[in-house]
Amino acid sequence: MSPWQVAIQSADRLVVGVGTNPDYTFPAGTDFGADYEILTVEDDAEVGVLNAPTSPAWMSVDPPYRVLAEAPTA
Amino acid sequence: MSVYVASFTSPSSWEVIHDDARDGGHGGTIDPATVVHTTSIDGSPNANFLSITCPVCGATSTHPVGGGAQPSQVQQMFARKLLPPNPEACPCGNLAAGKPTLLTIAHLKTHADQLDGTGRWVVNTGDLGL
Repeated sequence: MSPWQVAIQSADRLVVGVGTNPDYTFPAGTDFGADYEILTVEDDAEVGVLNAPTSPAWMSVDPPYRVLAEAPTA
Repeated sequence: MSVYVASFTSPSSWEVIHDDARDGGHGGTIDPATVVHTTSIDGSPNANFLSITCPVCGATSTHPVGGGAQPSQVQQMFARKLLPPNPEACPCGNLAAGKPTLLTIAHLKTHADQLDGTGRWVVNTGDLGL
C-alpha cells in the first residue's frame, strides 16, 4: 500500500487519521486547515510513521501514533 | 443480531431494532445521546465501542468501531456521534469536537484499522448525507 496518506496535527505531529479513500489517500484538494497537514507516505519503513496501518504493530498497540520522520507533503 | 440502529431518522431520533428479543423482536426510537461509549477498565470512555439500549426492554448491545456484522450502519453510528448537530470529541483524546467531517472519518478509520485491520472502514461522507 504505497503511497498512502495520513493527516497529522502540525503542532505535535500526531497522526489524527488515515486517508479516507479505499487506497488510504485523501480526495484531491483535501485541506483540513492550518492546524493540520496531510503527509504522503511513500514507504512505510522509510518514512517511519509509528505503527503504520500496514504493520502488524498498528493492530497490536493503541493510539496515539506519531510521525517519526518527515516525507513530502501532499 | 442485537440492538442496532436501523435508521438515522433525524438528528434527535434514531430508529432502533432489537432483533433477538425473547418476543421475537421489537423496536422503537431513541435519543442519539443515549448511545454512549463504553467504559474501559481504568474508568475512561473507550473510543472503540458504543453501547445501545433497547427502548422497549432495556437490553443493551455493544458495537465495535469496525462495525461487526453491519459495518456501514455501525460505522455511521460512530461517525454521527462525533459530527454535527451535536458533535462530541473522540474519547481517545486526539480529536476535538467539531472537526471537519472528512477528518472525523479519517480518525475513526484509524480506530477501525487498529481494532480490525486495514480495509475494514467503508463509510464516507456520501453515506452520511454530508
